[in-house]
Amino acid sequence: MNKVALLLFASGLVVAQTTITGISVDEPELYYGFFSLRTQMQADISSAENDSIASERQASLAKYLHISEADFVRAGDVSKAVLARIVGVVSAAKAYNSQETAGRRMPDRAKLQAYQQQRTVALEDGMKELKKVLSPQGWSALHDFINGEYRSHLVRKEVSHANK
Amino acid sequence: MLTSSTRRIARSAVMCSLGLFWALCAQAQCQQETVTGWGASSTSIRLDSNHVQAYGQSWTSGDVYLQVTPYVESWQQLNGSTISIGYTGNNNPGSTAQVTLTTQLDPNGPGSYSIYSSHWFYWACANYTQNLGNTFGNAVVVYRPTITGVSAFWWLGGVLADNGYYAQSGLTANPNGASGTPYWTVNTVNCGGSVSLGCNPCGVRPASRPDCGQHER
Repeated sequence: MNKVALLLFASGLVVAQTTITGISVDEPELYYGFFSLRTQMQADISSAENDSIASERQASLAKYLHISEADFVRAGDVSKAVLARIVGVVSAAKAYNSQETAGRRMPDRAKLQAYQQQRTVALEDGMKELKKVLSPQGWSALHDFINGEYRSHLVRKEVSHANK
Repeated sequence: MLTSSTRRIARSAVMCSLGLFWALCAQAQCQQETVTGWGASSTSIRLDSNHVQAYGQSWTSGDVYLQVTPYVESWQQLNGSTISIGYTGNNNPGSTAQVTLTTQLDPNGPGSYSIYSSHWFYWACANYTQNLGNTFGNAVVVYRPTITGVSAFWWLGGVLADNGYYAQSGLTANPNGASGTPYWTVNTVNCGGSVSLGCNPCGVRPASRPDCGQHER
């Protein structure tokens, strides 16, 4: 038993205490989770063996989100666009980090915060876009899904290795 | 009197200010930071006629979230017993770690399908992995599609006269949540009576025994 514990600590695998904190309604990261989920759903539809199964999957997934298939498609377009925008932010942040590392400089905190802010703005814009392009019933249902069922199965925690 | 920890931080600060020992500076920065770790498990979904699917997700946000690599491991369960496991490794910082678990219903049968996930976050700068804990998605209960109706109406085959009885009947098909076209077949003996039925949409559907020449009405 002691050997196992020693191995876990030596490899850095330490299970920390979990503190589940409240997640507010329309928290931008809720939408990041949804956009990622919706994009994965599209990949699952595309990987169907034939068109009939793909249609069946699309109908089932739209039903799961409580929206029509037309709104499901619109939500997919918004998700794809938002994630592409975030990939751009991440690429810029990574390039900046690499540049600073190569120059043996500490990354500027203000710049890192600015990249995070760009990500948050992209998510907020995505939420507004969903509201704009979905039917009123579709937006209402999807908003309820994201802030209800999806949020209820989501946890967040400040993670740090300060206790290492 | 300085503690060893205080001396270490002071030494790092001096080295950093001189632009020396970049690794130590990075380590010092890494030690002071936190990111927000996120984890989710979806409700299980009846994806199509023969599959149940669910998702597990981990990701990070915050000023230095690119320093942390998210991981997720998910377990799909049927009536509380694990039937499949998925894990995302080698995921890039800044992206979502996402597992999709899909199970074919045919070999597993009806029951309560659910998923739970464990969420991990790896700090490369400190070679440290932290666990967020587990998340649990809602279960979906899968029932087998059924047909109900009169029994063995097809046994009229082989008689010389059927006295007005038909080798056809109405069977009520209940998909029980299955999408697509549920399909049933009942086989007895060759041309002695077998029946097949598919429905989309389902409800009361006519079913006939196959054409067996002189025996068919």
